[in-house]
Amino acid sequence: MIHINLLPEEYRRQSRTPIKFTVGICLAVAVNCSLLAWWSWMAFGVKAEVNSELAVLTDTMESISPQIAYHDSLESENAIYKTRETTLAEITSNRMSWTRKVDELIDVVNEGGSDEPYLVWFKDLSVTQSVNSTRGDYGGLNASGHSGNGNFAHVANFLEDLEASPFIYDFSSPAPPEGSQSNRDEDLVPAENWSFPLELNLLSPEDRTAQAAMMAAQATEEPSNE
Amino acid sequence: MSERKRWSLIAGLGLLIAGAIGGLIYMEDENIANLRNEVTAITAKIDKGRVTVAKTPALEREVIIQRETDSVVAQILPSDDDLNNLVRNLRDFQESSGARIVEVKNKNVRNANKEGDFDRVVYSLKFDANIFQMLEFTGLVENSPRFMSVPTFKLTAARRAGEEKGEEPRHTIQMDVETFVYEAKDHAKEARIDSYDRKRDLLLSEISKRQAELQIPGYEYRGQRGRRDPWVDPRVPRGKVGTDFLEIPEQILLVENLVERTQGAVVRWEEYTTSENLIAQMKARAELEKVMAELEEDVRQVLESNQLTFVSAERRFENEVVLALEELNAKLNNSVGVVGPTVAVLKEAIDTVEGFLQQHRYDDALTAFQTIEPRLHLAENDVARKPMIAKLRWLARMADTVLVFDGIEMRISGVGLIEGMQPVAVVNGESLSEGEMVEDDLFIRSIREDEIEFVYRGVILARRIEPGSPQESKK
Repeated sequence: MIHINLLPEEYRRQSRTPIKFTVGICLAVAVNCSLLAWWSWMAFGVKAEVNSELAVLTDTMESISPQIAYHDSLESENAIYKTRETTLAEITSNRMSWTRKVDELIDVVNEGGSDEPYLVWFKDLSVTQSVNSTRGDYGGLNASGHSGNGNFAHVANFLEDLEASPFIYDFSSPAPPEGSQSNRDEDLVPAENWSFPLELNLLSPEDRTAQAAMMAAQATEEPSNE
Repeated sequence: MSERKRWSLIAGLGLLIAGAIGGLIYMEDENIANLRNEVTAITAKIDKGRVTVAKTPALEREVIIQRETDSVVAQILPSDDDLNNLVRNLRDFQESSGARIVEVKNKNVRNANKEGDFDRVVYSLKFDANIFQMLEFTGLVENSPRFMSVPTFKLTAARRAGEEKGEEPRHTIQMDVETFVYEAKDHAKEARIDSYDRKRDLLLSEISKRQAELQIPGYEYRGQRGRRDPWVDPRVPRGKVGTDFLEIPEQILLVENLVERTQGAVVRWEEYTTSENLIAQMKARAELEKVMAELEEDVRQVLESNQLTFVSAERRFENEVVLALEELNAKLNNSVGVVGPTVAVLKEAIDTVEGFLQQHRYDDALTAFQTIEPRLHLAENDVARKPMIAKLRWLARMADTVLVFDGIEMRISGVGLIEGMQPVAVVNGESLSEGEMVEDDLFIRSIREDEIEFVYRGVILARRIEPGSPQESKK
């Protein structure tokens, strides 16, 4: 159906945007403006704040970086020194003072027993020192000994004195006394003598260090006891 | 356009714009989240960095100490270049110890036992020495500023036959001397430390402490100390033993007895020095002198009879009896309560009199002697002081002789020196030649143009002849 408005122009109803339409557009504009405001707050508020914080931190980091680099270079230099020092300590801890050991052995031989004097001498001396912790073999001291007396008990006396002396601290206990009577020599005084082996095994470097520490502790205790 | 279409257009446009803004918001949010993560990461880095930097002063100190102690490490384990010095050192050790090196070999074990930056170097030495020389040598090796150790050695004792021929017993020794050579793989690049010298100066005590810690403790070998060499057969050939020979146990017991008596004398000396009153002191002194006299007589007999053939007993006798007695005698002589002038007083008197004689002050020399002379007889029986008293008396006699000679009146009228003839002097109107006596104890020794030498009481003295004699000659 076709409507035809025949009223004169001045009497006709004025045409206008429908209210629903206007409300709809307004709503759409309001939503979008809110979204835009949110974005603006994020972009120019929060982000700017974080950026400035980041800039401050970056500056701080830049100022601290040379100090860290300096620290790192000191650390790498120190590490090389430390490695060298550790190796040096390892090398030196394995050393055994044979001057001390042989000197102590000479002391025991020269003291020659307190109650029943013995006369001991040696034909040779062999010393080896090795670091072989897997087999527990750290070397030792071997000597062919002689006791200038027909009484074999003197060998036992000597070994007993050896065990009671500081000499033994770096060794495990000697084997029980054994030996054989050498040929009698009437041209010499004393004519009789017994030959016996002296075989001693070295303790591990750790045990030797522990023994040395114990000796040092005893040495410091003795004067205080006095 | 229909209303429906218009609505659709508006809704579409609205949604499109909202979507675009939503996208922007989303991206911004992501961006902010990333920035926040970055902030967190940098903050963590800064915190860590600050912790690290806080440790820098301590590390800096440690590095300064390490740098300053590195020279000690370099001394203990020098570089390859120093191996020649090592061989020179071995030669010096040989000279100092008396050992005789006959072979030096480099065992060429380098790299076989590499310890980090350190290369092991082993020298095999063959030398002969007695046990004390060997200990001196190993002591020098082990106490060397350069780290050296003796991992193995083998000693073969000197043969008895050589010793019986009177040769010095020298053992054959095969010894390995081990050292390490420092060859750095990673050279420490030194960081530049500001105000290094000032910081180092502040750490000097710590540096010294660390340097001391790095030094490897050595063993101080104190020599033979009267001990016998256990690698020398101590048995005595029966043929060399005299009639007074004592068996070794008897020798040991004899020495033991003398040692005990010497110790007893030392105890009496202590009693004498700690006596509470004069009577106790005199009593203790008398007992001590008696004990000492008996002991000295026995010691003399032992020394004269050569009873001690066993070296160990002989050494003990020497160290614990003879030396101890000498020491005790010295103490007695220097003690306050000693009878007569002490050794120190006598020595001073001798020095004084000698000084006056050298300055030709004979009167003063005699006066100095006379001040001490009345007390000299008290010390005449003391073995230690007797020679000093004799010397003092001899010096005084010399001073007296010069003075008496000076007082002798002699007129020397002239001397005759003719070639081919004995020189002649006219003394107190008599013509005398060399060797002739002027008066008692006074002889002419030689006649020269300007002086005549006399021998008076065994002392040679001269008188000058002044021109224009006859005259009173001058000494």
